[in-house]
Parts: sequence; structure tokens; C-alpha cells
Amino acid sequence: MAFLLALIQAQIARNEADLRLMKRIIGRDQRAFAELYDRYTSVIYTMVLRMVKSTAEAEDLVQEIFVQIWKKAHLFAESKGSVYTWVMTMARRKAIDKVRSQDYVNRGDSVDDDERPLDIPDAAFEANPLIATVSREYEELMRSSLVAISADQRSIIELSYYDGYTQAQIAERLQLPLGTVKTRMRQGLIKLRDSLKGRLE
Amino acid sequence: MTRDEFIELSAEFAVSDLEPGDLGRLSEYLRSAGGNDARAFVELQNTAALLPLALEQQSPPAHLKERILHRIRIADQAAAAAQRRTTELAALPVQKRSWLPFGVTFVTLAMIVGFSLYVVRLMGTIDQQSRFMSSLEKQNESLASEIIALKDELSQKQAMLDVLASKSIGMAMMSGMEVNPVGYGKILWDPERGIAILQVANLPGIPSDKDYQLWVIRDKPISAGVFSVTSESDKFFMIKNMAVTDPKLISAFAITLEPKGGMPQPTGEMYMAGSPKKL
Repeated sequence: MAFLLALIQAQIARNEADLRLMKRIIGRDQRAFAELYDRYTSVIYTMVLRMVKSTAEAEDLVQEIFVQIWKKAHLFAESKGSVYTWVMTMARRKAIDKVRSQDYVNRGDSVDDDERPLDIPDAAFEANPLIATVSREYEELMRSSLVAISADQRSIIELSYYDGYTQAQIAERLQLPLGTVKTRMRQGLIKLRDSLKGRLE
Repeated sequence: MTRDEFIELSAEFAVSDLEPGDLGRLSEYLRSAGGNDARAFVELQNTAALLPLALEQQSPPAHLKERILHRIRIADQAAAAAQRRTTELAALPVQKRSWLPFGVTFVTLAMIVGFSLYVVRLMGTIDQQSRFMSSLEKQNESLASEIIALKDELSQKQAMLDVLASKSIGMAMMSGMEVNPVGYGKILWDPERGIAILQVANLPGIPSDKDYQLWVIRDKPISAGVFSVTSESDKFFMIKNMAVTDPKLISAFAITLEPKGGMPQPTGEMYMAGSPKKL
């Protein structure tokens, strides 16, 4: 229990450190940007490499993602979520665009780089135990939590999250009804969330 | 939308893409959602965002950081330069609108229009004058031709007078031959100066590739010149430098139709002929 409390406190501290970095980056502080790079480069590179499966492509993408973070830092809203989620969401969308581009198999329309127009109430971020940040503790926690969901659910989540397939494409690829794909995706993510929350609370 | 549908769409949104219609419904729901629903939405987004942490973490090459930092420095420099340009442009004094350029333009345009009208009118006058000059030139040419004809006539008459006034004169009457019996003519000449006047009448007009040729016949025909007629009325021709002038040596005169320019010896039909008369 003490470990979990320490973990939550560490996440809060890391998130606050990220927020301070973002404020400096918004103020055009290149040293703060370099710090953010050091903090996030591995997780972004790992995700992108998993998606594009080429180190050269992954390096180019990481560069594009960080340049975009620098240029669009002013769009980050502290009240709307953690820096980690904002950065990772932007990075994944950039990578999905690449995966879906003509260089790869055409799997559908590309997504917009900008923030999706969702108006989330600030209350959603208050007293939220699931604060996403980069940390080694979270790495272990995620790996052990993924074991909690079925292989089918995990496979559908990975096809969608990393490979950019739409639910209809996954249904066709796995020869499953679309409704089954939707259900497994939803249930898998909820189970993963519950597993994480259960370990944190 | 039910809460189950909301959770389903939130989960899809976290790991996948939503159809535009579903995205709109989710957005609409979130706008009026309570704290629990909003928190559930954010938890699902965070859960999905944490997925990459489950992968075996890898690091990019070290040089990538410097490359990226270089890129953002360049981006900043470009942005700063653009900002400077914008500021400089904004700082430029706004010039008061002056009517002078419009006035100058208007006056210039008016001058151009006026000058154009003047040129058009001038061109019309020049055209009229040109036509008038052209008619004058034609009239002049006609008068010149008439003067030349009159001078020729005067010259001929003068020559005739000279021949008639000479101390001795030779004369020959010519009659029409079988081909043109109605034709007739005469020749008066001054033996001392070798000048002769030929008068012909009722000779038919001839084509442009033919000439009449006058022959002085002594032992053989000697050409005294060629002439052409365009009508059958009387015609006078002056002959200078007759080859033979002594009437005693001339046995006859004859006119034949020959090719244009004449021939060394008669080749065509004889239209007139006659012998000198003793005066």
C-alpha cells in the first residue's frame, strides 16, 4: 500500500514537473524542450518503431513529432489533461498518418494533427488517480495489467492502436462481426483501466 | 445516448477513430456530462496513452536530439524573421491619400483621349488630301499625255512645213493593194535633209505583235521604218534619215505588214504601194 501511495505521489510530482516544462516551452525555452525530449523520447520512439517497423522511418517521425510539439505547445491546456497524454496522443496520430500514408498499406483516411474538438469538463481531471506520466513504475504496471485482458481483446486493441486499422478493417481481417470487435475493444480497454486503477487505489 | 454507448464510444475514441457522426454524438454528450462520465472518459484516454509503456523501451540514436534541436532553432529563426517583417511593415508610415496622383492620371488620360481624337481627325484630313492629290496627279498625267501628243502633232506639222518649205521636194502617192484596196497614202520628202512625211489613210488596225513597215525600193527594198495604226483615220508619221533620198534612184514605196519591230526584207502582205512623181 505504501508502494502504491508513493507511486501515485511520484506520478503527481512528475506530472507537475511536466506542466512546468510545458509552461517554459510555451515561453519558447529551448532548454525546457530539451528536457522534455529526454523525458519522452524513448516512449515515443518505442511506440513509433512498433508502428512503422523501421528505425529510419521511426527517427524521421520522432523528429516530426517533437517539432510539432514545439510549434503547437501553445495549444496545450493544463486543465484538459496530463502532458503525457497530450504528447502521446499527438505522437500516435502523427504515426497513424504515416502508417496510413501511401508509403504503407492504405487503410483509410488520415486523422487531423490538431486536437480533436472534444469539450471535456475540467472536473474530469480533478482527483484522478490515473495520472499518465512516463515512469519505469508505470512500465511494469502496464505490462502486468495487460496480462489481465484476454489475447483476443489485446490483439484487437493493438491492431487498432499501433497499426491504425479501423474497427471495420479489423472485423474483416479477423473475420469477426463488427459488433464483436467493438465489444472486445471496449471491454479490453475498460478491463485494462480497471486493472490499473485497482492497483493504484 | 445511454451511458453504455458513451463508454463504448469513449473506448473507441481512445484507441481508434470515430466516424464523424459518432464523434459529434460523443462531443455533444461530453459537453453536458457530469463529473463521473467526464472522468471515465479521461481515464480511458490515459489508459490507452499508457499502452506504449508496456512495450520494451528503446532509445533513438543520440544524434537525433541535436537534429531536432537544430530544426526548432531554424523554425524559430524563420518565425522571428517573419515577425520582424510583419512588424516592419506595420511600422511603415501610412501615407495620406493624395488626390494628386488621381489628378495627374485624369489629366493624362484626358490628354491621351484628346490627342487621339485630334489624330483621328488629322488622319481623315490627310486621307482627303491624299485622295485630292491623287486625282490631281491623274489629271496631271492626263494633261501631260495630252501635251506630249500635242507636241508630237506640232512637231509633225512643223516637219511637214519644213518639208514643204524645202527648195526641192519629192512626192509619192500610194494606193491600197488587194488585201486593203480602200487604203491610200502619200510621202513627201526633202531630198537634201533626208526627212519625209508619211500620211496613210484607211489602213486597218493591227494586232500588238505586228507593225506596218515602209519600204523604199531601189534595186531592192530598203526599210524606212515601222509604224502602227489603231484606227483607219488619217495618220501622219515622220521619217528621219531616209536611206535613199534621190527621187531618180527610188523606183517605188511600199507598206507591208510585218512582225513587231520589222524585218530586214519584206515578208508579209503588201498593203500599199506607189511610185515617186516628178514635180
